[in-house]
Amino acid sequence: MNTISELQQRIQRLSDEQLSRRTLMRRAGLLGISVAGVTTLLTACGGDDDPTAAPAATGTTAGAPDPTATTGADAPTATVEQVAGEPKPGGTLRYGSRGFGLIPPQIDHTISTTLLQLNVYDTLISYDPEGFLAPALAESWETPDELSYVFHIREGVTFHDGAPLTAADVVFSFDRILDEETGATRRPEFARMASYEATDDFTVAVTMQEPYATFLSVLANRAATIVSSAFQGDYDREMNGTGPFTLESFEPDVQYVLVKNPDYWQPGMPYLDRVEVLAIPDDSARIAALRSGDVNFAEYIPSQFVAELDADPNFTVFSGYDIYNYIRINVNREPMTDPLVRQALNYAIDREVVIDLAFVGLGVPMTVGLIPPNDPVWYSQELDGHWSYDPDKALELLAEAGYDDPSELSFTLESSSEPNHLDSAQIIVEQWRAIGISAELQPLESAVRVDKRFSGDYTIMFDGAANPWTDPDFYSLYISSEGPVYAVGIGFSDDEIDRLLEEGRSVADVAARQAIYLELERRLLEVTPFVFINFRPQAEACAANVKGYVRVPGVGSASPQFMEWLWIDDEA
Amino acid sequence: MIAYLLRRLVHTAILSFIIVTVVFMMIHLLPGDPATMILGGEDAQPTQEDIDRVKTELGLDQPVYRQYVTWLGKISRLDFGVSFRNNEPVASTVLLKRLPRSLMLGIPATLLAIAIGVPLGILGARLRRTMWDPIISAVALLGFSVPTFVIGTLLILLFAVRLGWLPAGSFVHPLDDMNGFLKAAALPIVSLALSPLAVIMRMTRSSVLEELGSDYVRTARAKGLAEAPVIVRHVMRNSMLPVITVMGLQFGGLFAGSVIIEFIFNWPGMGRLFLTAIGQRDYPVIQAVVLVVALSFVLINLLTDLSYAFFDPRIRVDRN
Repeated sequence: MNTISELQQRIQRLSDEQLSRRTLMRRAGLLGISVAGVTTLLTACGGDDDPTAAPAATGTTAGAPDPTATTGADAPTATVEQVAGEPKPGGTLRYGSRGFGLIPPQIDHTISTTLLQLNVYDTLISYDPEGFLAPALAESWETPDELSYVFHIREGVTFHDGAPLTAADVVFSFDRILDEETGATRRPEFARMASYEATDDFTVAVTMQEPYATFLSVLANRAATIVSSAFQGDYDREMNGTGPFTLESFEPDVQYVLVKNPDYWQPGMPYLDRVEVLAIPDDSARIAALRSGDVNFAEYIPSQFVAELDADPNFTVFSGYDIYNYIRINVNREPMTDPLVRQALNYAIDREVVIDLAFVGLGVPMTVGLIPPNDPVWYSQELDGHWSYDPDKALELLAEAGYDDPSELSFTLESSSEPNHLDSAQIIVEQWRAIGISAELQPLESAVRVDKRFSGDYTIMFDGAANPWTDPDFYSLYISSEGPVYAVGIGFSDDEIDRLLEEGRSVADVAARQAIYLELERRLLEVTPFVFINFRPQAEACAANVKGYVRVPGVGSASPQFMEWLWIDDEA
Repeated sequence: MIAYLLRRLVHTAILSFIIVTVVFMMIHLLPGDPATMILGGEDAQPTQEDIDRVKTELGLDQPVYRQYVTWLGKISRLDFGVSFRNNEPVASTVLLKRLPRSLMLGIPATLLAIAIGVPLGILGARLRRTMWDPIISAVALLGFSVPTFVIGTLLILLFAVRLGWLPAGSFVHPLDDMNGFLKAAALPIVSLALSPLAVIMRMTRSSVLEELGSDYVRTARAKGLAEAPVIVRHVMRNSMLPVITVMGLQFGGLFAGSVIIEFIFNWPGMGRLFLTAIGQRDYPVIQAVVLVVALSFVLINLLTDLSYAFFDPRIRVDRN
C-alpha cells in the first residue's frame, strides 16, 4: 500500500465490507461488548497504515480514554443498540441548536450552521458510521495515476427542485467554490486542482497540479457541497440540494424546519418525517429544553452536564474529544519573540490539572501537537509526553532567555468569555504565576477576539478548534506561512516548516509521510508557536427513544449532519 | 392641548435623533468587525481579500462620518437597510416579527404587575401595623431584589424540568395555537412581571398610606361611608398619580428585562435579536432596535403625562 490509488482501492473495499462490519457490531452488541472495544478491533484489522481509517479524537475509538466509560457504563451499550435496532420510519426530531445564521452553501459558518446544511446538501464523498470515507454523490472513483481522479457520479439523483444531478452540476459546484465572490471556505484546497471536466454526463475527471494526499478528505468536508447549476434562486433564503431533507421554512436565529425528501437517493432513508431545528444559544436553556421534552436532541452539551445527563435513563449522551484548546503565541511581538520563553510557558503548564479542574477530569492532554494520541497512523509515539509539567525546566529556560527573575516576564493572556476557554485560561495563568511569571488574564467578547485574531493584535491568545479532517495536512492551516488560521495575522513564517508541509502534501507513500510529519513536529516543538493544551470533551444528547445517532470518528460533534440515520422508537 | 402634543412630538424627534446618533457612534467605536463575523465568526478562516471585499460591499470601508451621513439619509426615508448577517430587511424583521413577540410578553406582564401590585399595595396599606404588612413588604422586596434571570431559571427548573407542566422555552404564535402560547408564555410573563409588580406594590402602598391620613378621608368616614367606597372612590383616585408614573417607567424598563428573559426562555423577540445583533456587530439591526425602544419609551412617557389629567382634573397639561 504505497500509492494513493492503492490506498483508495482499499478505502473502496472497506466501504464494501461495511455490511459485514455492521454484522460484527450487531453481534458484539449481543455479546455485550462495547462499541469502543469493537472499533479497536476493527481499527486493528484495518491496518496501521491506512490514514483514512485513523480515528480522530473521539472517545469511542481506540487509545484515548473513553469518556462514556468514566461517566456511566450504559452509554456505549446504547450506541450498539442504536446500530443494531430495526429503524422505523416517521416522527419528528426537535433539535436544540446553538444557533445558526447564514445558509449559503460551501461556506463553513460554525459547526451548528454547517452541519444542518449537510442534511439538505450532499458532498461527492462522505463518511460511514465508522469514520471511513464512503461514496455519496460519487458512486465510485478511480485514480489512474497519482495526479488523476475519475469520479463516477451517481445516476438517478435529483435536486429538490426536480432537476437531475449530472456531471455538469459537479463542475459548476467546483467553479463556484473557486469563484472568489462565493467566499467558499475550501477554495485554497480546491485551487490545488490543475483541471477538471465532465467527460460524459456522469463522469468527472480531475487532474491535480501535484500529488495531494488530502484531496478525498477535502471532497468529504462539510463545505464541499454540490449545488445545482440550473438553480436561479437566492441562497440566502433558499436551499436546493440533493440531501435527505428539504427546507420548508427558515427564520434566522429562531427556527428552521426540514421535511423528508421522498426522492432521496439512499433507499429507505431518511426515517424522520420532519426535523424542527430551534436556536437555543444559552447552554442551560438548551439542556433545560431537552430535559423538559421541548426538544429531543441537543448539541453542544458542556462537559459539566455530561455525567449528570448520562446517569439519567431518559437520555442518551454521546461524547468525544474532537475539539481542542490551545494558545496562539504572537512570535513577532515582545516578549514572545524568544523561542525559549515560548518553551518555558509550555513546560510551566500542568495539563492534567487543567483537565481535572476545567473539564471534570474528562480530556486528553496534548503533549506533542494537533494529532490525537489515539491516531494509530500519524501520532508520533517518539515525541509522546514532550510537553510534560516541569516548572524547574521552565525556570531554567527563562533564565537562559535572560529572565533570571521570572517576574520580569509580563504579558496578558487574552481569552474568550466562554467557560470552555475561560476556565482553562484562568487555571493556566495561575500556574504561570505560581512560578513567578507576571501573567494577566483579559477575557474578551467574541467579536473583539475574532477581530484581534485576524489583525494579529495580541501577545498570546487562548483559542479552541477542531481538525477539519484526519489527514495531518491540517497543520497547513496553522503553521504554513500562508496558513489562514494563524500565520496571516501575525506574519509567522518558517522556511523549514513550509518545506516539510509541502513535502507531506505531495508524497503519497504513508511511511515516507510519517517520517515527514515526525520531522515537522520536531521542528514545531523547537519553534513553539503554540501552546497546545488538551482535547476537551464535546457531547450531544438525545431522548432515549431517538435512535440511530452515531458519533462518527473524524466528524465528531458535526455528526448530526447524518440526520438520515436517525429514527424514533415509539415503543422505547 | 394640541400645542402641547406638538411640542412633545418635536421633543420626541430631537431626543430620538440624539439617542440614535450616540448609539451609532458608540457601536462604531466598539472594537470588533462585522466583516469577520459575517465571514464565519469564531470558526472561519477568511483571507484579507475576503474581508476587504465584504467591507466594501457593506460600505464599511468609508470613514465613519460618511457612513453616518449615508445612514441618516436612509433613515430619514424610513429605510432601515438589511441585516449584515442574513440580508433580511431590518424594518420587517424588527417591527413585524420581533416587536410583536416582545409585546406578547411585555403587555401581559405589565397588566399582571398592575392587577396584582395595586390591590396588594392597598391591602398592605390597609393592614398596616398588623402581621400581614411586613410579610407583604418582604415578598415585594424579594421580587424587587432577586434578578429576573435567577427567578427565570428557578421557574424553569421547577415547572419545566422537575414538574414538567410547562415548556422550558419555546415560542408558539397565539394565532396558531392559543393554548400552546399560554403555556409557553406563562413562565416568561411571570418572571418579567415580578420586578415591576414589586415596585408598583410598594409605590401604591406608600401613596395610599399618605392619602389615608388626609382630611377628606376622615370626612368621608365621618359621614358614614363604608370602607370600600372610601378607598375606591376617594383614596384610589388621589393616590394613583405617582403609581401611574411608576407604571409608565416600568413598562419602558421591561425591554431591559426582556433581553435577559427572552434569552433564558428562548423567546425569539426583539431582546434576543438585540443580543445576537450586538454579538455579531450587525449595525443596522442594533440601530433599528435602539430606535424602536427609544421611541416607545418616549411615547409611553407621553401617554403617562396625558393620563395625569384624567386622574387629576386639577392638572391641565397645556398650562405649562
